[in-house]
Amino acid sequence: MRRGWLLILLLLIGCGGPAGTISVEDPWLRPTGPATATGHDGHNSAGNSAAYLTIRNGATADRLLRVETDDAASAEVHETIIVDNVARMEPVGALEIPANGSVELRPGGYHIMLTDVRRQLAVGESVEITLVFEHAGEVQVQASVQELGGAQ
Amino acid sequence: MKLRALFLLMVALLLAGCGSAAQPTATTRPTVVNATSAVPTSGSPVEPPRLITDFAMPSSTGGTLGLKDFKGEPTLIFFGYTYCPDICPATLAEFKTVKRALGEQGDDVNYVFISVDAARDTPERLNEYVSAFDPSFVGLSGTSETLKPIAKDFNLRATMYENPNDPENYPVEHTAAAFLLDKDGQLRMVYAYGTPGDVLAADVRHLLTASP
Repeated sequence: MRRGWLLILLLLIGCGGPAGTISVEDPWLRPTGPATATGHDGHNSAGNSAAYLTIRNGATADRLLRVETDDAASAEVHETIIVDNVARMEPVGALEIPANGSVELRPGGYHIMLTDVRRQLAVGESVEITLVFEHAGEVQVQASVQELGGAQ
Repeated sequence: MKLRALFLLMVALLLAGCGSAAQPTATTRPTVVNATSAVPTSGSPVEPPRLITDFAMPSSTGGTLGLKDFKGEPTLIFFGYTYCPDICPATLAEFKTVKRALGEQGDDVNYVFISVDAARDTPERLNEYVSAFDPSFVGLSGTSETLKPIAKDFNLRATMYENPNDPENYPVEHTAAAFLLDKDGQLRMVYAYGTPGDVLAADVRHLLTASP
């Protein structure tokens, strides 16, 4: 019987770990020109880019709190909102990821806005982006730079 | 005995709990969240065609270009700014699709990106930006003054917002439709953001064959 309670303890530990319930698919981002300008952080800047991906979730509702990368001055989740053919971008505080659902970041909707990208991003290269979730914690992805005019 | 029943119940509950956490059951319909609406399948014709007022702006190709320089060929126009990371590259990518879809005829079309943000988008910067899509694409550097004559024709909107965290990186709210002019400089079609390049290409092809 004592061994049985140990089993319960193990099951409890197993259930406690939410990691693995979030998966990130198809991360890609847009290429940039040469990093000839100076960004507001003082580094070289190749201008702005946007990264796209799909987040799939397990049974626990989660929230994407922030995104990080070493290759840009800043990285934020933004949403493009188009009303009557006029577009604007708004920062998304925390992106809700529903339980057993998925959220797509794609052109014209949610995207990871990268400002002052510090090096030229050429097709075929990749950028490491860290997604920080409220429950699942940090998830690192390698986003590949894809040709302008492809991928959609 | 009571303890044993409790034990079995707990094991059962924990297993059930873990099971559902690890893999959603097949009957659960996944919720897909995205901020975009359905993909437009056609543009909106402008009836009757609207003759566009002449304009003149510094060009990525050097010098100044205006409507008269684009007459003689159909012209696709998109308004934006080069710091725009999302829909501007997405639309220019569709223009690239148009050119590819038209084959040789693709050279008989003007592809024009008009920046509403001349303060940042110099002709040199625009040249770097549009050339990355196709060397034949043209960028025009518009100010509120030079855009004024055509603002009504295109129902053009462009508003700059302050960004206190990064003043140089201010966002711009802008018209996100694509426009098709015929060879006489008349506005013929308006396309909502996200209209596939193949849809635009079919209309351009129609203009090219209708007017020898």
